[in-house]
Amino acid sequence: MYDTFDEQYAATIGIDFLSKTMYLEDNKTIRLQLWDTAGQERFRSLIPSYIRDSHVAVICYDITSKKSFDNLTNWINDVKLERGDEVIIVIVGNKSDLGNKRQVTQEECDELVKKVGAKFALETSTKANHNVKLLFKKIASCLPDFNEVEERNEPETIDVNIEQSENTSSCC
Amino acid sequence: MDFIDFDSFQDGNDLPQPQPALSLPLASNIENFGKKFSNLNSLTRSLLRNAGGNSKTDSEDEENYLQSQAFQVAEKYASMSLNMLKDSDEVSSLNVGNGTSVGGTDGSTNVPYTKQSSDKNLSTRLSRVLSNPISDSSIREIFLSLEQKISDTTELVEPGVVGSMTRKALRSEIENDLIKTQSMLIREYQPVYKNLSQLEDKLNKLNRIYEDAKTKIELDCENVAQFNQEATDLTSRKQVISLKKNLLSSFRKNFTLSEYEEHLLTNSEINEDFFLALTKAEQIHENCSILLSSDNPKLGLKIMSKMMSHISKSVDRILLFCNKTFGNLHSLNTRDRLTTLHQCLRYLSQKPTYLNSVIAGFTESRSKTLVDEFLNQINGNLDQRNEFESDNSQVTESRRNRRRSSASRPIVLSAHDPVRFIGDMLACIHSVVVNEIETIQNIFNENDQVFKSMSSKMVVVTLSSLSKPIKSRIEQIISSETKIGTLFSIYNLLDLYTMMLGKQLKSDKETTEESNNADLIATINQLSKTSTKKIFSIVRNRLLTIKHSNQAQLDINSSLQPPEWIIEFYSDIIPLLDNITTPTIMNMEEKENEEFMNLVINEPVEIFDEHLKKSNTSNSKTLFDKRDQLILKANFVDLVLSKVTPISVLTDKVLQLHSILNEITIKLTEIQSQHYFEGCGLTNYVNIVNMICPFTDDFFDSSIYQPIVENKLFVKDELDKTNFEIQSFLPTALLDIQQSLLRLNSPIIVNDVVTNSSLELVKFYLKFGILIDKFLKEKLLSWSDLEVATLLGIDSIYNEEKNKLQFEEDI
Ligand SMILES: Nc1nc2c(ncn2[C@@H]2O[C@H](COP(=O)(O)OP(=O)(O)OP(=O)(O)O)[C@@H](O)[C@H]2O)c(=O)[nH]1
Ligand SMILES: [Mg+2]
Repeated sequence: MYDTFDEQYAATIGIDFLSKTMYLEDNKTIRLQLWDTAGQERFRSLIPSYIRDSHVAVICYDITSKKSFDNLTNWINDVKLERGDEVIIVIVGNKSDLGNKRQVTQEECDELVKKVGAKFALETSTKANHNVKLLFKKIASCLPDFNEVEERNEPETIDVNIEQSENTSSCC
Repeated sequence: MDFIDFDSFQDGNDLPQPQPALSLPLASNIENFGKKFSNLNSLTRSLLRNAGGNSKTDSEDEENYLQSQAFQVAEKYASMSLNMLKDSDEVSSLNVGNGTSVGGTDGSTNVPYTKQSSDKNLSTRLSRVLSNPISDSSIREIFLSLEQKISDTTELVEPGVVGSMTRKALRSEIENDLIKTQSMLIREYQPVYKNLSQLEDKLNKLNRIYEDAKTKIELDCENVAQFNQEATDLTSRKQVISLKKNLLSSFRKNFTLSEYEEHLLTNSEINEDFFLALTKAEQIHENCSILLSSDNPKLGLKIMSKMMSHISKSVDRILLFCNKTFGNLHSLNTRDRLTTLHQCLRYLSQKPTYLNSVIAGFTESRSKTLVDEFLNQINGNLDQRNEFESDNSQVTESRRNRRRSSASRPIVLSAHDPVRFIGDMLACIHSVVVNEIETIQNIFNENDQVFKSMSSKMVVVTLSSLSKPIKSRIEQIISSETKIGTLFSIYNLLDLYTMMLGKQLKSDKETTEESNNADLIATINQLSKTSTKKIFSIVRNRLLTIKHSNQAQLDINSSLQPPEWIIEFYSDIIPLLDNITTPTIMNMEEKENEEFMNLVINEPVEIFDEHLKKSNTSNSKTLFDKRDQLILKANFVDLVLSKVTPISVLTDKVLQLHSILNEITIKLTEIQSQHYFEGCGLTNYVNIVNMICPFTDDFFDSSIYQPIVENKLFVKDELDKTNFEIQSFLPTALLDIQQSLLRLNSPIIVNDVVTNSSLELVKFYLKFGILIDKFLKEKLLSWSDLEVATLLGIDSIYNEEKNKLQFEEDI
């Protein structure tokens, strides 16, 4: 999200914000507003307020943690509870660099995508900077209404990083 | 030409007297000769003149001419000689046929020869010859040359015809010679002459040229002088004029605007040139101070006022442009407009008042939009939305609103969940803040220091407009909220957002600090303080109601259990305290924190004390004995302690509570030991011992208790009675005491009390037994100390303790 990777784990406190200007192929620019929500339980209550205004919810799990994957449904329900089917849901399996510790297969993920009606799923690695750019490109192109008007649009995106804090020890 | 006439010469003549000097006409001959030359000269000259241009043949001609000349002369002399001969034929006498003689100038003809006259002639001639100032050597030379000619003197001197003929011949010969030599001489001069005459020509020519040139030069000089005069006049005039011109042009440059520039300032659109012209106008305005200091300040004033009007007009236009642009942020999507705006602002930054007014206008309009948007969000007013859409100048805003309104529910206090409501509101503020920061940063994306501080200031000012509505809403909720838990959640939210917004606005830290309290973050921070205060006051009020509540008072009953209210109170307050991660409760100040902790812990204890006291005095129905009171208190404090112990912020308080409990334990132990002593009938003996010296663990010397024998109770009979009492009391004592402490909740305290009081008894029993042995020399107490200890169930503990006791001697 910040185009950087930090081995040191610093839990997000509250909600972080970042805006990102994307340049799409057809010379259009789109500004994404990214809200990075904290995964910790004590900040959970904040998230619904942000889902209210978002167009896309990016929900992340850790491919080396089955538990984080199982938790996805809860998060998706939270999102749907707030926005119904109006929101685009994107599922991201992070830490694809740790393939040997994989606990969640891509098939399982695809199944979930179908089940919950998510837009797409993608495996990324922020550490190896793999697929991160693609993720945001894909998100940007998922917003057809706003592609027509240049700039000024500020679709808001929720980036829900969940439960990764649990796996800190395994990757540091 | 005269001739020396020898007619008169006579040999025989007596020459006693020197003849008068003969005047020889030699000189005159030469003169005549010269005269002839002069004729010749004129002749040659005419000839030369005739020759004209063909000077080539000159020398040739001249030669020819000279030859012919010579012939002519020869002929002449020949003819003359012939004539003379004829004459002499006719005239026998000696005379000279002189009539048509040479030159034609000599007018004397046929002079009659007389002796006298001939003498005279001769003498004059001779004298003439001799008196000639010719040097002797010359004369000699002359004569020598003559001698050569004269071959026959006799013939020569012969009178008569032959003689004269000869003489004449001689004469002509000499003359011829003379002529020849003379002509030769002259001829030598000829080339020189020729050269000279040529030179003369040239010189003449040169002279003429020189004269011409001179006159011309003089003329020219005059002209030049005149011209110079004119030129200097002109140059000086030119200088003056160019000076004037320079003056004027620099005046123009410094004090006037070109028409184009004026046009730029007044009519054309605002661009680079406009600002150049404007700077010039200002420069002129400034320069006018020089004009003002001159003698006639009128011009300066005039120009100044003109420039002032230009400048103010331009500034008005700039202001208009800025306001218009700010009024319609959509227009800033074009790069040009943005750059122009930057220029405008940069210009205005020299004029802080204008700049401030523009910025104030902008921030005001932004503030208004934000507040409207915010209120719109909260109220979800449909009419307001339509109104926005119809307003063209706020396309973006309306779009954003539309998007928001359609895409999301308005924030309503729907679920009557104030925490969610406030959370939504703060999330909304959060997004407004980031949007606003982006909007303003888009406008001022320059790295200019001026713009940077300006933009951050604007963000702060604009956002601070939200303070008021937010404050009123949240304050309202806080004040109407009564649940501590909810308030605490609100506090947490506010605190979190203070941090999160601070992160967003942290680049403006410097400005934030100096900005007023209207600042958004400050407001939210203040709100969190308000929520803390509210919690504080709720707690305080609650305790106050408890304090005066009869119900609470009645809660103290014979079960000796802690009252219901403290359990309820802690069930509310403990989750709050449990969730605190900061060093002080809710980030309060040290003093407040202390106060709050006192309120939460000490205050209930005090209230309970008070209630206890009251119930003992006023209420006759349930009178508690001392032990029961202590048990009540112990139970209460123990409950508080159990609630508070796990909470890290309260460690100090836990210690305090522990000490309170210890006190209670000690008091209870005292009561219990008294109870033991009474039961055993040892109270009197304890008093007697204490009067002498109370037993202590670290010192015992039986001899100092000598006075005990004087006491009337220290006798066998009395002691036997006591021994009996002990034996009847002790076997049930443990059960009794356990029964009485049954309502004390803390088993630790119970244990402490039982053990300590029993120990006290056993220790006394032991030392008292020693005293009896020593002073009455009889064993009156039937049970050993160990047996007593066993009966009281503290045998193992007593053994440990006994080893620590100090005795004067081993028993
Ligand atoms: N190996 C590996 N480690 C990763 C990757 N992405 C994140 N991590 C590590 O996972 C830990 C947690 O990452 P974060 O992104 O901070 O987790 P989070 O979900 O934002 O945590 P919260 O903010 O508390 O919700 C960090 O120590 C990262 O170094 C990845 O792609 N590969
Ligand atoms: Mg995070």
